[in-house]
Amino acid sequence: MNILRQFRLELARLLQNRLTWLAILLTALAPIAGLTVYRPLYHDNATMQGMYLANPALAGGVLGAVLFAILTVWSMDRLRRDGMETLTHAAVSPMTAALTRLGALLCVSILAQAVATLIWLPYTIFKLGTIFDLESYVLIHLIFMYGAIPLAILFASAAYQITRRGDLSLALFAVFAALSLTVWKQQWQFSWLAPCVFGISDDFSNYRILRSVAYVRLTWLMALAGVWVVSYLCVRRYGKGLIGSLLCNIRRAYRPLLAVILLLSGNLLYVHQPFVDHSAAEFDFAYLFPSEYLETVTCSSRYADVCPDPKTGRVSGRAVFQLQNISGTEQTVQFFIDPGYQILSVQADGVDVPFSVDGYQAMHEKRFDVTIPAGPEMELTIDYGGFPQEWNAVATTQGSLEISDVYMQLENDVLSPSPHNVWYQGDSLPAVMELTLPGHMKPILFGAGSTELLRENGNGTKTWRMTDDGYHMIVYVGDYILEEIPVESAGITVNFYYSRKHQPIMEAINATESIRQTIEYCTEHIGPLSFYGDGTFNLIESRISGGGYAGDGASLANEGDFTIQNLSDGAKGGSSAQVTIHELVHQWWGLGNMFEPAYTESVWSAEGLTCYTTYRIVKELYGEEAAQAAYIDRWQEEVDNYYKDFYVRHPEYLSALPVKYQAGISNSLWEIRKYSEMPLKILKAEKLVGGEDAMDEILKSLFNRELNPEYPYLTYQEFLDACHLSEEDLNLE
Amino acid sequence: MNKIFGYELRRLLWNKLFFGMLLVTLGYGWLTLTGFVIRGIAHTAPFSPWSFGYYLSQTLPLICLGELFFLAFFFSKEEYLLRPLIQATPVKQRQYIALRCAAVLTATTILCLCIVALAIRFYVSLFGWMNYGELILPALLTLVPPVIFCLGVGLMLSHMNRVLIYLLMAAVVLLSVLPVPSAASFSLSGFFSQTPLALDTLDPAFHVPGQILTSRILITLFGGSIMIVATNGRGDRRR
Repeated sequence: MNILRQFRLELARLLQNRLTWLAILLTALAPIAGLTVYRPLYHDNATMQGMYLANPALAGGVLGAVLFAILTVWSMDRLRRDGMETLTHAAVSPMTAALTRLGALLCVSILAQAVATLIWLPYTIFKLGTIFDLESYVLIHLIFMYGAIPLAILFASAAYQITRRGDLSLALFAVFAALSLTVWKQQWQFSWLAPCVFGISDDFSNYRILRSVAYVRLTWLMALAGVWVVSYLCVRRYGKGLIGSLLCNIRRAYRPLLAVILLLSGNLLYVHQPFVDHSAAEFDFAYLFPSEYLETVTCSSRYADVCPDPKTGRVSGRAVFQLQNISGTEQTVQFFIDPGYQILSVQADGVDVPFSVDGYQAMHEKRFDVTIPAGPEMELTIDYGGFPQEWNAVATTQGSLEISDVYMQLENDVLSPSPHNVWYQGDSLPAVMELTLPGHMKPILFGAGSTELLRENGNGTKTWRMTDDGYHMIVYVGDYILEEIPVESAGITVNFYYSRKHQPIMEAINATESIRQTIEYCTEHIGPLSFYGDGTFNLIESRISGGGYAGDGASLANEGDFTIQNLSDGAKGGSSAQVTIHELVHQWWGLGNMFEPAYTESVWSAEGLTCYTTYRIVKELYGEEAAQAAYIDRWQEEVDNYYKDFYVRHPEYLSALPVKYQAGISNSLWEIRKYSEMPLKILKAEKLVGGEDAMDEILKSLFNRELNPEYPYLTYQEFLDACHLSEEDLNLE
Repeated sequence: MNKIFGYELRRLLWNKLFFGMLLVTLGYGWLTLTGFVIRGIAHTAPFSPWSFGYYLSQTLPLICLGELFFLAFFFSKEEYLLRPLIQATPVKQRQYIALRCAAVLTATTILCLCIVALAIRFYVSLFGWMNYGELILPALLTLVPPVIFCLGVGLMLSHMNRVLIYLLMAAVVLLSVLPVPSAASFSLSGFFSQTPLALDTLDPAFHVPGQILTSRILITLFGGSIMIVATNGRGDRRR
């Protein structure tokens, strides 16, 4: 029988069955679970698209996969169950039947997905309103929801073809699904059923996270297709058992070859994934600082011509450094670059020079060494490019390095390589970049510096010239509105950049007032920010991410802090915009006053004072009860758990563990100490010194102290001395 | 009788079903050990009876599913077709069913021992810990009652209709994940993960409250009684 005809018959047979239609109906209704019981994106700062599009799609994917696995096993077991297998196999080869059955099941799954996508369209449009975007809707349904269903069909079908038992196949599928929902939940490449999605942006684009999830689906599709072909070789023929049938089916060489190719493809996709770097598991802070600087090599200028490609999310560029090597011999200069980039060529004054890329990666950095010739003045040109990678420590919250024609986040080494072990010739090394962007996009510099339009290119792009006074450059690109917020008492004007899409929400929640109050509080209680020459700093709304950061002259406001969902919930009190407050406070602690770079041995960092000050602001703005619940109770709970932790009480067991286990445990313990233990110690200090007013005076004196240019850092000892306390005084119960 | 028992046990153990279940259970057990138990459950040591009990409670649903699959193996359609032949032999049906139950119990015990051996291997290699005696009580408490219960109820249901055994499998999974009070818990995961937190001391010695002990004894007795009734009832009808 012709295979196409057999396929049509199989599809018709499947569609004539009520169970098939039940599976289609239930799959179409499955997204309801994403609005009620299964809400992976249901956290404090979930966006509207996260709540009403991504959650239903993810839940639909999980339940749809389960339903189609059951349908697959039921459909495959039917002939055997009804005792019709011998008769059918007399007319149709079991090999052909296996293929056509798989094809028919995949077709039915496409039909189910189409029904689900159509059914949920009006509801999503209604809930999302102006945020709704058809492209995002279709992509999220296809990748988040449908992506899981063919995988389930392939697995269930393969399990049945190998075991020939419906019950066992379902049990194997249950275990496979349970793994994804439990132990593989935090491993982004293993989560085949419920992918790791932290947030979906309302205001900006989501191509990076969509690409990442699609990639994981593709990896699994290849691997499971390979497993399916292996199971295809096990299809029983001529009344033989597993081994006999395998030996019979394997004779056609293309079948095992196809299985090997598919399995290898899956493996290659897994190993060479482009989204996340391969940084060492332990936080190797020492890697970020050179063991020794080259005394005879200096750098007097850095410039880069950068072209992000909004279609592919890749970046290509050429960096030019003006170097001086007065040693008289060749020297090896180290550079850091985004781990996802390739170095294409390095030239000194137009002549190729040798370079080597370090295989070791740590703290989201990759290093490469360039051997430069001797010479008092040279121009070092580096051509580079690639797909920027995110840090593997935050692999489950991917999406921040978005590069599209809607939004771009280009941070530090994503823009260009940076020299590592050379001194600047002057006091600083301003970064100068020329950025070629689509014509409708305008870049916003995160820190202090300047931006000017250099030229309009013929191909619809524009080139911008940007200069950052600091060593690094961070650029945000999107459809932003600028709102200037003058804070008279602080003598500062905040340039608040936020997405045009978010304007109605920003106005509704009066975000500018919250920002003004935070700055007024810090100025009054800690001191005025005096280090911004022009009296302005930028506050930029970024795409939803796991947190924020602050830099010289700028802080980041996460879009999740300003969702209408979040701010309409009065019960949350201070938690609504706390990340933005936290990042604003970093202008005082961490930037206004520097802290020595963090090491795991010490928990004294900018985070302790920043968390404490954030708590005080929330207490003033939202009341004591809200601050107690959002901060003190949470810190206390975490610290209690920390002190009770087995490895804290018995560090000898931790040090005896293999490094891969040790790193994960140490990192999580250190985070608790930094973000919970230290703020509690400062709170204890506040009580010991006589209360909030006394602590404010101490913090004010520390903030305004005369800096030692040799060592400008605020140390723990200085803090203790200012409080007239010893380290032991602040030991927690 | 020993010969028949040996034969039935060999059929069960020398089977892809057994090896499949063993592989899946050991794989899941390893992931549980390296993912959760290594941090220590409820601030106790990873090798404490509490952590060990938690580990067993996580693998228990798979062990019970394995046991029910073994039972389903003896009550499959193919076995049903062979029944007239078996009934023609001089072996009493009641004894034959009891032998098969013993074979299922032995296979399940082997599964449990493999899971325990995996944990011991993990403890010895990572912590150099070898105080095995402490693990006996949590192992007995966690594994014996559900295993006896599943065997008894599974046997009874398979006599009624073999499809019901699959419903029991679903019920076992549900019972293991539903948030029920410790005394009524099937897997005891809540007992192992919450009890040390409720006590004032750190690293509390392992102890079993009377309530838990009573419920586990009741589960065992109930399962055992059902098993006896099912074996006898079936035997009488077939004689």
